[in-house]
This record gives sequence, C-alpha cells and structure tokens, in this order.
Amino acid sequence: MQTFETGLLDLTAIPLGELRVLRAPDLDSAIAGERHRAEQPDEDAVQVQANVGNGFGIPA
Amino acid sequence: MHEELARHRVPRSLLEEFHTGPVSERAIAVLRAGQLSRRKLQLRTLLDLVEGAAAEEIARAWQVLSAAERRNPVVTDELLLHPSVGVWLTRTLRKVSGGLADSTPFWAELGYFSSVAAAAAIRTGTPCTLTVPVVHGVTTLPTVGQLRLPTAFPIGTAELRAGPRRAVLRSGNPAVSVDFTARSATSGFTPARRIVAGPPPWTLTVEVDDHGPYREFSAPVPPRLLDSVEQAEWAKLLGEAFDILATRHPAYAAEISLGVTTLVPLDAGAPVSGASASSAFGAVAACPKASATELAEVLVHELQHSKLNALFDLVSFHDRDIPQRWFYAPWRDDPRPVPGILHGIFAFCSAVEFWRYQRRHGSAEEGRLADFHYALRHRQVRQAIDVLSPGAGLNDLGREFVDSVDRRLAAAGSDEVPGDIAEVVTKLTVEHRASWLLHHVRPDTAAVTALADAWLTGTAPGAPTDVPGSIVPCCRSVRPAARVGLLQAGLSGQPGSRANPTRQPADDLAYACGDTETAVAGYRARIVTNPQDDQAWLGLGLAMATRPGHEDNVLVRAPHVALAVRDRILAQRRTAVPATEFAEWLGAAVRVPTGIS
Repeated sequence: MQTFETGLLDLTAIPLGELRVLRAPDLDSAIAGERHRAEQPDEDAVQVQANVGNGFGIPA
Repeated sequence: MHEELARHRVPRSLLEEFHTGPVSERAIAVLRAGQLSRRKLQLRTLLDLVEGAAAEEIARAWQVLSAAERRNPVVTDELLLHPSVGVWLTRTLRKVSGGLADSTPFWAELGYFSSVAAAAAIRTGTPCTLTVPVVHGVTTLPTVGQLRLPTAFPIGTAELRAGPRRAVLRSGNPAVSVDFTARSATSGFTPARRIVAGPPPWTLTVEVDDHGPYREFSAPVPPRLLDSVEQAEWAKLLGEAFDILATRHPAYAAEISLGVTTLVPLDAGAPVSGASASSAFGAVAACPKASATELAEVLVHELQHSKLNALFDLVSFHDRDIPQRWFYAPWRDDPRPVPGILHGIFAFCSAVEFWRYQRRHGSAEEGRLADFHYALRHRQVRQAIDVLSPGAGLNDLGREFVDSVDRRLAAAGSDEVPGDIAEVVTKLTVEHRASWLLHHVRPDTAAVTALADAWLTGTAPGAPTDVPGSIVPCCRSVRPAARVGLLQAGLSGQPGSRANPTRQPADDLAYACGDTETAVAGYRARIVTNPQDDQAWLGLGLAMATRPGHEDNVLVRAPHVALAVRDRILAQRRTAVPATEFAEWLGAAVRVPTGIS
C-alpha cells in the first residue's frame, strides 16, 4: 500500500509521562513549529455557515 | 534521548477516499490519530512555554493525567481529543506566545488543564487532589459534567478531591462542597448529556455540549443548560436529521456516525445555521431553528470542514513558501486564502450532492428549497474552481483534490431547476461577484487615469486594454442593496413581503420582479440625482445584464474599474456622466477579464 510520510510526529503511542520529559531534535523542531503557528493570526479558525435567507453568503 | 521519532504516514487510499467525499472508518481513524498527536504536541509545547507557578500547575495536572492514562489510555485519549481541549490548547498557546490578547484571566484559561485531568481521574477512578477554576460560577469537567457551587462568587478556584467512586468539590470559607459521582445528577452537578440517534443498524452518539466554556470555539462563554423541553426537541430534531441521512445519504450517515462526537446547540437567535472549527475536530455547532433536513445538511457540511482541517494537519495541498494570495469565494464576502477556497469547494460540493437528492423528496415547498440550494451551491463551487485554477500555488495533491471536486460536481449534474429559481441564482451570484470586486479590488491608477482622460477628451475606444487590479480588502465601502433580500423573498412568491413594499426602492423591487425596463429607468434616474450612488450604478449594470447580449456588461464584469473611472471623471470635471453611454464606451475600452492579483 502506497503511503506518504507527513510532517506530523506520531506521538500517539508515547505515554504522557514519557512525553513530558522526552528530548529529541525532531520534537524540538515540532515544538518550534507550534510556537510559530501560535504567533500567527488565525483567521480561518472557525468555519461558519450562514443561514440562507438571512443574507446571501454573509458569514456571521 | 530518542534518535528519531516516527511521523504519521497517510495511505494513498485515504486521499482517494477524500476524492469521493464521504470517507471510511479507517480514514476517520487516521485523521483522529493525527489529531491526537497534534494535541499531545501542543500540550508539550505549552509545558515548555509556561514558567513559575503556572508550570507547577501544569506539571501537577500532567501527573494526574498520566496516572489516569496508565489505568485507562482510552479515556485519556478521548479527553485529549475532546473538542474543548483543542480549542483551549490553541487559545492558551496563542496567549502564551503573544498571538492573542483578551480579557479572560490567564490563570482561568490555564486551569482548564486541571479540569481535564480531574475529568480523567474521575472517569478512571484515579485518586487525586487538584485546584480547578470556577468560571461563570461553575466548574466544567469535560465529558463528565458541570458543577455549580452554592456560593455567590462567579470566578475563582476550588479544590477537587477525587476518590475511586466519588468526588468532592470544595471552595470558600466557610467551605461549601458538592459531592457527586460521574453519572448521577445532584443539586450542584449536571452530568454531561448525550443523544443517541439512528435507525438500526445506524447509531449516532453525540455529547450535547451546552455547558463547556470553549464550546463555541472561542473565548470562554457562560453555560446555557438546555431545559428538559429543549433537550427533547434537540433529540427529536437530531433523530429526524439522522434518519434522513441514514435512509437517503448512507455514505454521509456512516462518516457522521464515526466523525461527529459533539453537538453544540447555538442560541435560536444566532444568525448562522452551522459552524465548526479547525481546533475542534468532531464538533458541530447548530442552530435549533433549522429543520431536520437543514440540520442534516449542516452535519454533512461541517464534518467536511472537520475532515479537511484534520487532513491539513497531516498534508499540505499548496506550497506554503509562496506569498499568500487572496481569491474570490462566492459564499463569502471577504477575500479568502487558498485553504479557505479548498474548504469551501469541498464542503459545498457535499451540499450539492445532498440537495440534489433531497430535490426528489418532501413537499413542493421543500422541493423548491432543495432546488435553490442545489443550484446556488453548484454555481458557487463551479465559480470557485474556475477562480482557483491558475496561480494558486497548488501542489500535485492539491491539484488532484480540486480535480476530484470538479469530477464530483460534474457527476452531480447540472440538473434543470425551475426557471424562476435559476434566474434568482444567476442574479444572486452575479451581484455577489460584482459587489465583491467593487468592495475589494483596486484597479491600477494609471490605467484608470488614462481611461478617464480618454472619456473626457471624447476619444473613441481603441483596442481593449487590460486594467490590472490588486486585492485590497475593503478598499471601497459598499452599502448593502435591498435587491438581495427581495430576490430571496421572491422565491416564495412574495417579493417585498419581508418588509413594507412601499418602503423598498422601486428600482430594486422592479429588478427583483423581473421588470428590467422599470429598473433601468429607476437606476438611471438615481444616477442623475446622485452620480456617486454606487448601488444605482451596480443596479443599472445588473438590470442591463438581464438583456440578451449584455450579460457581461462592464458594470458587472468590472464595476471596480467603471466606478474608479467615474470617480476620476467627476473629480476632474463636475459634469454629469451619462450612465448607459459611459458603460457602453468603457465596455469597449476594457478587455475581458481584468487581471487581479
């Protein structure tokens, strides 16, 4: 089966106790990415579907 | 020290499932696993960012959550995946990083992690003592319920002690407490509520989140617990909506039963029918005034956003290194980036498929509503795909994705709808694009000046010229016109019935009723009275567009150019601009289409 490797670290199997003290260059890089993301404006955070009949295509 | 951590892998088949719309249980599991990793990463990032007492508080809650995980990791994974945790993590990280500032006290935001840990402890029987926030007079434990202490103070902290079977929340001096188990309602405790719906073999189980502070995907909001009548009404509405999906749209019903975990009842006065958020996978907010059919469509629509949000945490469909560009989205008034367009075409293509099938069911009135939705969404998705194709920076995966939506749209046909509905859809979509151009596109100043000078010197148009334009959000103020509401009201055979028809502009009413000549005469008269009446110019273009051969006149094709040239002419010489003659002259002078970047 063809698969693509993504940029997201697979932390699903790492227990929380281990994750708390985990040190790894990949993790440092991913944390830096999250910090950068958190600093950016997030205009697309919420998708809103307006009522039809309450204004055409006008999101609240 | 780990040498190298594994990364998520996405099977090609998952992307192919997205190409068809609804996805399988395996695909939802891949998306959910990605979301779990993202939440864990955000949590660890938060731990690294906070300092001092806040770090100690996070560490204490982390220990409890970790202990609960050792007892039952299914419970802790479920809690980490709870929509409120995603919203909370995203907000708190943005606050710590300086990307967000609002009036919510930071200690109260941070303390939600202790509430998450407390919920995990209670559900797994892990003994613990934690300090939890009291906001809006209540403490919320996600998936467990809401506690209201019998005190007057609305905000502060309380101590929660959880034992193997019972828990106690204590606060104040003298201390007051609420003693509760996770399943039974008491005077101070309301357990989290669920609705189970679906005809066999289908089952949809959702938590009804009417109390969580982050349920509206934004800053903490007060609880608004449904009363017993409202609960019953929601259960009935959701049951009927899911019945429609199960019997008529089984592929969507299947993915909704797997992917939608939380229903957020919005206030009946909310001006939206549905909402979802990138940080809240599986949550759908909906307005109770929707019919069962409309709620079914909201569930289908919002889950598409949730799926795509989760997929975008795994793969990208466009080159993130190129500068962000903005595009026209026919369903929104504001310019949108590439991901916004991808979201829209994906979600609204599902709406096209949904309404196409719904056209065959229900009363005549319901059939007309379905016709309208089908035709409108079909036209909008078509427009968006055509806008997106060039220069959007899509990579191979993105191009495949857009092609797949294109194929689905083609498969959904371009079915005939009644002529009056088709006409309204055309008028609405043409007006929306023209208004958007006027509102957000600034034409090249030199080109505008040259055109104005040519008009003022009586120069006949030569070869049509390009007038480049730049998207500058809200560069021109555009007042709403009465036409839009009148057109929609006209679908039910009652143009102008929403308000007193005598108070509606006669030209807008004539346009909505299909009386082109009266509308043209009315708009021209308004322009004579006030040459800078933008809505009269736009109305004139729209009315002229209903005449054969004038569909693409310059006032609807490039209103931003036309009115910029008009402004220049009026600024140089305060002479009247004969509207129809000017439109014909400019139409010959400006090439189709004008460039926008």
